[in-house]
Amino acid sequence: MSNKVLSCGDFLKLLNDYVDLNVSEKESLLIGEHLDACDSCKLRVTNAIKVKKMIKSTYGVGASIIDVRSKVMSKIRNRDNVSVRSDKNVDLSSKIMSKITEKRKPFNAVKFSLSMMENYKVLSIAVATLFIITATIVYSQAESKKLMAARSKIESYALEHSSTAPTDYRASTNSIADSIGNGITPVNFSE
Amino acid sequence: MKTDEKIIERVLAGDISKFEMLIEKYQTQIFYVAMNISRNKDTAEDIVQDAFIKAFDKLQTLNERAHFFPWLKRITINLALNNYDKNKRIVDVEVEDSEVSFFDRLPDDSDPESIMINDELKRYVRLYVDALPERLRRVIIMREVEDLSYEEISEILNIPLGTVRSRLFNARQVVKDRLIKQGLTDSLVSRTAN
Repeated sequence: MSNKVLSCGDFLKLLNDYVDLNVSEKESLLIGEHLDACDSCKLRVTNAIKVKKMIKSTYGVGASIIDVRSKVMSKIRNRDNVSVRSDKNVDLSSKIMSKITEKRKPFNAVKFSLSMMENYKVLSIAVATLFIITATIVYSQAESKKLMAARSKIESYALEHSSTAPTDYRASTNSIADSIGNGITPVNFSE
Repeated sequence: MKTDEKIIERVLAGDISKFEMLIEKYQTQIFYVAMNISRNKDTAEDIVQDAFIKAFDKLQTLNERAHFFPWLKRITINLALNNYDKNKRIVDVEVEDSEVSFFDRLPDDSDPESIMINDELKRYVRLYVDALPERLRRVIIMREVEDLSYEEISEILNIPLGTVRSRLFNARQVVKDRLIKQGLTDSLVSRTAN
């Protein structure tokens, strides 16, 4: 609305908004000025407002002809999920109940370990690897202890029976011990 | 609307029976909202029931509890519109700018001068509004009767704001012109009819 004076055509475009109180303050001032000068448009406004009122009074709220209270309330009460609030409770209680039921089941070690493995896959793999490494170390340590015991046995045996060759008995025992370590049957010195 | 807020708080706290107070308070107004769109008493009553049940179910989502009634009214309007579309038997074949042809559908009525002026006027207003193409009728009912804003009408009917304005303008023009043509000019000034 850049013009300072409204024409009837301009006003007609604003008539709806005017009767619905949907115009800006500036538009309202321009319309006011136009209506002061134009009787036809003033009557258009009067008619438009009258039609509005007629429609409102025709379709407006009349006497109370229905009562749906009991029907609605019984529908609300009789439904499976009684209400929004109880829906919440149902959810919560079902969760609690499922947890309780789970607790009451007999303990099954295999199932438990499987479920644990399922839940903690990465952790299980790490634990298994650690177990294998530890077992290998323990096994190799036990093997070396056995070897040491055999070596000392042979050493003492060699000492007892090598009075004829005292100078290089150590070398001999070492080679015998090495032979044992390599799976070769030791030579019987007593022969 | 403080009472509404209190009632809603009680209902949300679990006292379902308090919801009955809201039904009692608004059922008549909601019935007329449904009736004005559906134009059938039985259908309107079903819509009212559905609207209250839906409102009860969605009560938690209502942030402005003081605005319960406008919220309920919108639920009702949406249900009534959906219901109308579902059961629509009359197809509007007219294009947007050919509202005048609706006059052909108007039935002949008895002499309006034989009835009291006010009732007569109402009867004719209803006749002319109901004879409007549905798309115009909806807009004029929502605006004049339900006091919805242009924006609300645009949102509910999913049409542009400009379309709301043009439909409203056309609907008012048609009703006014028809009232004047029918000779019901005691309340309207005939020389402004064009």
